[in-house]
Amino acid sequence: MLITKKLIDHLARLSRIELTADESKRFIKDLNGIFKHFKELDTLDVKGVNPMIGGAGLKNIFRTDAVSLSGKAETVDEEGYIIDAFPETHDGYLKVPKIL
Amino acid sequence: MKSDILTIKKFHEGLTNKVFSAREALAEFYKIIDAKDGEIGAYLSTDRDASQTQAEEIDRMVNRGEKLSALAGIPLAIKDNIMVKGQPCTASSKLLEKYKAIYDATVIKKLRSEGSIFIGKTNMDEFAMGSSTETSAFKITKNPRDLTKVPGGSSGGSAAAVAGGMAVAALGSDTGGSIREPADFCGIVGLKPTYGAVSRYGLIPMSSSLDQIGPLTNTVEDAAIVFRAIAGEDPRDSTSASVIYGEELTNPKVEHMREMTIGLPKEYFISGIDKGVQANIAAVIADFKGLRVRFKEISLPHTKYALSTYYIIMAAEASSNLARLEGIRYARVPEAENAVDLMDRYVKNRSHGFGAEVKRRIILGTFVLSSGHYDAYYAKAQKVRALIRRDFDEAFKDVDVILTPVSPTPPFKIGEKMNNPLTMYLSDIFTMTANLAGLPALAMPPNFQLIGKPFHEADILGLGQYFERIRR
Repeated sequence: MLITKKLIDHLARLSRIELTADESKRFIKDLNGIFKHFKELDTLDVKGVNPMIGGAGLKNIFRTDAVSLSGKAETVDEEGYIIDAFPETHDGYLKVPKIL
Repeated sequence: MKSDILTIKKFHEGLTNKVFSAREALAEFYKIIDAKDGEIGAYLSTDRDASQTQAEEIDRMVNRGEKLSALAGIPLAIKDNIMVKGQPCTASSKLLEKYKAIYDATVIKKLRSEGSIFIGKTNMDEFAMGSSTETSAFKITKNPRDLTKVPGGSSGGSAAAVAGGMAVAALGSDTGGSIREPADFCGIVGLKPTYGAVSRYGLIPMSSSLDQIGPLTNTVEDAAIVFRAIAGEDPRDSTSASVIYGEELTNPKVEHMREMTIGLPKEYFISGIDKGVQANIAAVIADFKGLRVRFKEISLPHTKYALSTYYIIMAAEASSNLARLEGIRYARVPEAENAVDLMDRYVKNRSHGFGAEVKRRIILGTFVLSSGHYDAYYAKAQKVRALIRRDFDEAFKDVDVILTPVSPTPPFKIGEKMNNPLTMYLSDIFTMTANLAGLPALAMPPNFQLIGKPFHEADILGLGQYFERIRR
């Protein structure tokens, strides 16, 4: 069995998710079933195959590093709108929960 | 008036000939929504004020005698993972329950400039993870053709809105079949464009190398009209391609269709396909043959590895895309109010905010990306993906278009597959290869899919329109 209780706890921690006892039990069963299916890939030799990365054969390019308004805002007013969309704000500042 | 307004073409004729006004048509759609949607559950939200304002503007244009675009005044339903400024955008997740879009997705911006009306946002599987719209945190959507059945998913709300006569057309997103499978289940048309043909800017991402936005419509011609309007390069999506589409999408040449060869991949005609689906496909092939379209049997040998490859790549990308939902920037769940520190806050928001299927995929994705397992799963899947794409490239040397079933089964009962994720995943077995290979694919009644060469949407839409005309 590939997915054990110990491994699922570790993966949940990495994912920043806490699983209930029920979820943990269910996921161990589900994921072992899924990984059993994935075993079929072991029978395939992929030596020398170039991986397909991304959904198209595009090459990376860089844009000019220039200051501009947020990609989502086209006017200064919209910057205000973006701030308002944050869960909590104060006088145009973004308010986040105490983290320390 | 009802039958006059269910296709874009008829709606446009009615509107420009002043048979009805945009306001009257809009009121008619809201009347249908009020009468039917309590039972069907296609919409999560509607925006009646903004729609009304948009419709009034269109009527003023009509009265001034201005030329209207084909999409002017058309009421569209939009999947709830696509941003429409000022409207909620929840991706059917509790974690985004209160989130409102602060900008228009590029596809919305394009449709807005054509004068389309965004009447509401539609239900979906949470973060588009599902094939039945049952993983929505908010409600179940029923199939308008049989209320005991699922509408398919993840764009089930969009499909049900169109099939239920509650919108002329809709937008959905397709990562492994999420436009095509619900279109098939609801008996309408759905197009998954070539990867890069349509900008993904403003789409809440699931799997960035597989996701594409596309139309769900009552006719293939409508799908071509909407696709033409939303396609195009966008500096805000660096994976969008600089391809220009034109008339060939909406005005296909019959002579060209007759010169085509359709490939039938033997790996897609397997035992286990529902008898009714098989019979429908056989009838479609016979009809095409009657039009003198040629067929050829082909092989796509790596098809059997598609499900594993798809689930590894999709889960890996989804787990990293959803890392941004930490409960600080977008929304916070009440259970996280008393968090003791930052880590506790992340964990509480995510544990209470995400549903079971989303958690399952995040954990699966975290595993295949984790050190020690990356090469065996993620890196290997990317290589198999290249082989799947190569299969198609080889096949397209001999054929122009590939025909397959959309889904191995007709719509299943609500609740039937919720306890077995692997059976649910098999619903997309014939659709996910087009996403892996980045190819355009059209699902249309009855139960068939046409897969085209990259950026050759005109071939599949053309054949589809040709078929639609002879069947009518």
